[in-house]
Amino acid sequence: MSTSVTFDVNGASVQVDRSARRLTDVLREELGLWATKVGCDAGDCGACTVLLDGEPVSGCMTPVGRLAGRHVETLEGLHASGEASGLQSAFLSHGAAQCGICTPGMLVAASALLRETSAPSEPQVMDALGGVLCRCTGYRKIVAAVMDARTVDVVEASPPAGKAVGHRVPRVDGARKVEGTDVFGADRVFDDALLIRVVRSPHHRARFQLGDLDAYASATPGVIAVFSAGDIDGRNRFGVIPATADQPVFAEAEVRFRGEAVAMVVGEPDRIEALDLAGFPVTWEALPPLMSIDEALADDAPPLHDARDGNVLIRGHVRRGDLDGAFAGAEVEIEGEFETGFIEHAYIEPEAGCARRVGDRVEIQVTTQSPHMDRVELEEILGLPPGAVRIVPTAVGGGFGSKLDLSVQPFLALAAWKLGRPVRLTYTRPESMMSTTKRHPSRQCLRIGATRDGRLTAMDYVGEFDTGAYASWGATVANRVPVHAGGPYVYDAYRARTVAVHTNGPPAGAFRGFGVPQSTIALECLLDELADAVGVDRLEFRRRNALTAGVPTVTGQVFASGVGYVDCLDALRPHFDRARAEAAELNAGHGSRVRGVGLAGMWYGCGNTALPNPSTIKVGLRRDGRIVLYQGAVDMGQGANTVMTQICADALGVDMACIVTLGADTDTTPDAGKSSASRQTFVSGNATFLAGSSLRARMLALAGVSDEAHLQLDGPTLVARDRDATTELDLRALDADDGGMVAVTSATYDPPTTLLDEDGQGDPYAQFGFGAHLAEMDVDLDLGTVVPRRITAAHDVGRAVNPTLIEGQIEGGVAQGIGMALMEEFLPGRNENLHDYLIPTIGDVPEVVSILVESGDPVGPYGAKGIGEHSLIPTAPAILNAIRDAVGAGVRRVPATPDRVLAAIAEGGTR
Amino acid sequence: LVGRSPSAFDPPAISAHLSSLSPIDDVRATADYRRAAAAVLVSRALADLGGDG
Repeated sequence: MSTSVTFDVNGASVQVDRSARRLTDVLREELGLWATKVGCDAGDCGACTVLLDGEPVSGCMTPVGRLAGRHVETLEGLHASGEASGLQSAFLSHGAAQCGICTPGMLVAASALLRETSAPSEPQVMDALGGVLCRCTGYRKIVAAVMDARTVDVVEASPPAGKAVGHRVPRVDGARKVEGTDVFGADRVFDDALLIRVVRSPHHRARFQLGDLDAYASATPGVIAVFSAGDIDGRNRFGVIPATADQPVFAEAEVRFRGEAVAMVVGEPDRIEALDLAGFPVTWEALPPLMSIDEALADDAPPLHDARDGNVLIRGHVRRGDLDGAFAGAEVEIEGEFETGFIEHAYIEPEAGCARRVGDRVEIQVTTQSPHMDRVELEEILGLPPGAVRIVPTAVGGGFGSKLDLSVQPFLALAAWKLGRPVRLTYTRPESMMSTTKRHPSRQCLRIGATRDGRLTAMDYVGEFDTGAYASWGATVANRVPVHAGGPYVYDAYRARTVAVHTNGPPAGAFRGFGVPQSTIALECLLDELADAVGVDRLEFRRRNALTAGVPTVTGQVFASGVGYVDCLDALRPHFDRARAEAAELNAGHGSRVRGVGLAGMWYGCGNTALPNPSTIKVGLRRDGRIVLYQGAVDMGQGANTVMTQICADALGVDMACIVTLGADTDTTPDAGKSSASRQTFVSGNATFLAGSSLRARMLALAGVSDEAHLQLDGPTLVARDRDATTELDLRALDADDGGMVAVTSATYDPPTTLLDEDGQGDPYAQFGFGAHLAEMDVDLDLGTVVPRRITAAHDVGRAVNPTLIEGQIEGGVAQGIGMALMEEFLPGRNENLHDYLIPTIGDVPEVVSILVESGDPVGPYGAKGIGEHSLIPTAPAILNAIRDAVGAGVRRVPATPDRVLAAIAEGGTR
Repeated sequence: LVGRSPSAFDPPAISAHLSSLSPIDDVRATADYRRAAAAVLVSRALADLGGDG
């Protein structure tokens, strides 16, 4: 029998070893066709979709041994032949690619559909793409793009000079995403890179002992080195907040959560990949774990960390007004307890990267949201001086907060540094899910008082958050939630207290909203009950109590303008009335399915809570007439590259096409902070505006023209039109630095905030975004299943720098909100993969209507505010309120799975 | 079931017929829920067959 197999890839015959290897492995590693992505290696996510004899299949589930004589097509082939060009243009113009990791799979699956029908219907598109998961877009723009593929010829031209802000500019890095050439963490490989595998705890809590690692390494073929805690020359501790950094790279003596690393094995890729780690010399002594907040807070609970009494990481609070007096004056009072679980980020790109030693430095190419933070932490772990580590972020295939924390980086850095050879590491999907951060589970109790005519008087909130085994962003959640728990409403008195508690769960960290999605569920569900109790229309109730400009927030902060919550509610009014009327008509039939309509509001402060968070952006004019934007704000799909380019172009008053935007690299781009807290458009946007304005001043001076002049770059010639005079300056004739730059400016912006006093009073954020969602849901009264019909989302974005990107953030946030409300809960050890852990598929996301309210923020660039996290926050409570509207009783534990909804139906007496 | 009219299967009859099911409790739903949902789905399927759904 032949030892090789011959088949056809994109029209060319290939011959590879006959083996059980996956097709994805052969395509990527052997044939260099990197457009086909790997998200799960289990046939769940569809990122690896290729065509086999014209039919979409998961490449990861296709052994090459079966392919003799068959035809494989990948995105590279569909792109080269031009077949995908209409689809690619439509994806660009609709903003259907965000991070881009699912884009090749989507385009391949859509191409197969378009061969069958050139004008597919929405259900046909949903059927054809149903096997490909996307975590960023909420799918709606993908559906629209596929339906539009035959009609979009060319992507919209760039806006005129000075008019980029506000324009639906296609993303500047979009072409490489739709062509499949963007390089993600697992796609960058140094020649002869060794492979790393990490040895992890199978127990939630255990003492352990490592055996003779040297003997294991020398006796195991292919293993070049084994590293454990003793090999860390610097500090075996990391954590995103220096004051609470507590997580070891490799555990020492005891593991605190399932999936915690104790060692790593490095060696020849084929052998390391095939290695059975069951033979690794480690002995475990399992200990009883603390798997809930109650267990962790019990008097006799063993402490996870010596310095943290009672397993309490931190407490937070905000107090304002006379709470007892305000409750005494309340005519109506309502209280409730709400619970949420761990939620997995489920980006389609698992953590991945590679590293090499370059002299006395280490260079790491990795998927990350926070390159400069990574650099500093890794230097401390390795015991190297500042500047010894270089982080070059790859494209990020979704982050949502979890890629702020270190994952693969310490392993890569340590192995490359110690061995002096290039190394690589890509987490498996289960490894990613068990070992990286999650959304904090919560138990929240709140009590709200109001007058009989529907004015809020008092609110008292207690939120307990399970921060898992290590601190991660636990302190941020504990400090952010007390500011936000009251929502965008006005109270006579307010108190919110939080506690972050350690358990033996996975570390809970940042996930789109830092605890505010959880607290908003509690608040907004209870507000509906309170509105009903006082007999006031649910939207009017919120409007009557809404925060407005000039009125102090719960921390005493007063905004003179830029408070657009009432505008969001008003924008929803006609939709609310229409939806209620439709529901009443539908429900008159007494069938087994009922329509519910739910509403929820939100506010969210952009940037760090009462802490500095500066961004620095550098811009230069190059001798060849190009503006170079050193854009260090990581673009993880949200569109920072595009937003900064738009702002830079308008600050300079030049055409966007003159700008070359360079992505983050800690050696070349200044620190633009982390991509989190919805801060990049606001904070880095302001830095970009300031740097661009400053470069414009330099260019005006070079040309010797006034502030009024219109600037244009015509090849290497700077053309300045000042009133009637035109000045032309040949940039090649000017002095330039080594990089060919004629002028370089950089600027830093740090939002004006203040520390909070002992009552939590002060100015924690320089701007807040506001929003409200309307959910129309169908509930099956016999099965308890819930089907979303439409979400209408109104958001005060200050000024929409790029409406298409903002709609993308809203639709993607809505999809994650649907997941949070209806299906998602991570249970350590039970659903560490994407077939047991469910995220919304293309069929789960209904029509999303986005309404952009532009209140004009006084400190945002061109009035802009952040939107990244805001869009997720009100979806889940709006859905829960719609369920309650339909069935007469609420669900107070998410996800609202059918059994929980059925229990609510029984309670509500609808059935 | 063969030869009988779908309308002969009222909810108690369907539940009795399904009494041998032993569904699991897991992340997505309780065993009780699964048993109840099975009865609903069977009764809907029968109703559809009978043309009175």
